[in-house]
Amino acid sequence: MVGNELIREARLRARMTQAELADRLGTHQSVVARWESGRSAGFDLGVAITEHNDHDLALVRRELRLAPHERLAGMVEAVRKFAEMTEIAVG
Amino acid sequence: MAEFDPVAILRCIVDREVEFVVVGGVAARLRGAPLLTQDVDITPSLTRPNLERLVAALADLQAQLRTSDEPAGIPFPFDPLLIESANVWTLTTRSGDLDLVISPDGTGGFKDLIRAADRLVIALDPELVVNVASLADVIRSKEAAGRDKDRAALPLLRRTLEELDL
Repeated sequence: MVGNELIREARLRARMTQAELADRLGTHQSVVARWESGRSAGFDLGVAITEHNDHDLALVRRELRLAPHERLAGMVEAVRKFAEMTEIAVG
Repeated sequence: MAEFDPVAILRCIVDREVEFVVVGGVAARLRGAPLLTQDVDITPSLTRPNLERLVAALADLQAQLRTSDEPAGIPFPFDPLLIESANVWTLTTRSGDLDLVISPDGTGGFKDLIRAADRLVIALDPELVVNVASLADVIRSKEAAGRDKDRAALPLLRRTLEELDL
């Protein structure tokens, strides 16, 4: 199972919509859709990124409103949740 | 695999009074780029006393070599000379993965990066302050590295830099 399939499988097992997963990871539904479709460039937990579009600007602006320690804490929480979902998908 | 706790890793290194700059994905996130990463990259000062302090911190962290074949780590006898002998050390610790990057691509290492770095508060209670590379330097390094994942991150990093410059 490759990365994009893993994300979709984990999400479905968790009975979550793309929007719900996006909300928990602090991103946008369209980003999750791109991950699952395999259109994002090399999704892995090393660096999860999105392509350049208007949603990115919203993400950036939201992040810039936070203090550095809040940004780091948010990232750690997102990584932890993603790891949990990956474990669910792997079974 | 240890749960990723970058604050614990960096607090341990700070406690040993190691001079370093946070670089890579964690630096980008601290600067406001909404990226995810699961390792901490640091660039240490290469003075002998500093590398000795770093070796002590690595012992505190129970650092081991991390490879694709052995992600759980391989015990390794770190010493200052050894650390200087390679440009990148990929490690796993009791608090997650840590990479020592002696001279990130496109940069001149600690002396270069510290000039534009800022001291940022990365945790409260107790407060933890570390040197964090500038976003421009993170971008410079990723441009020079040129790996797929570095190139893929560049649009978002540049977008963040644009917003910071407004």
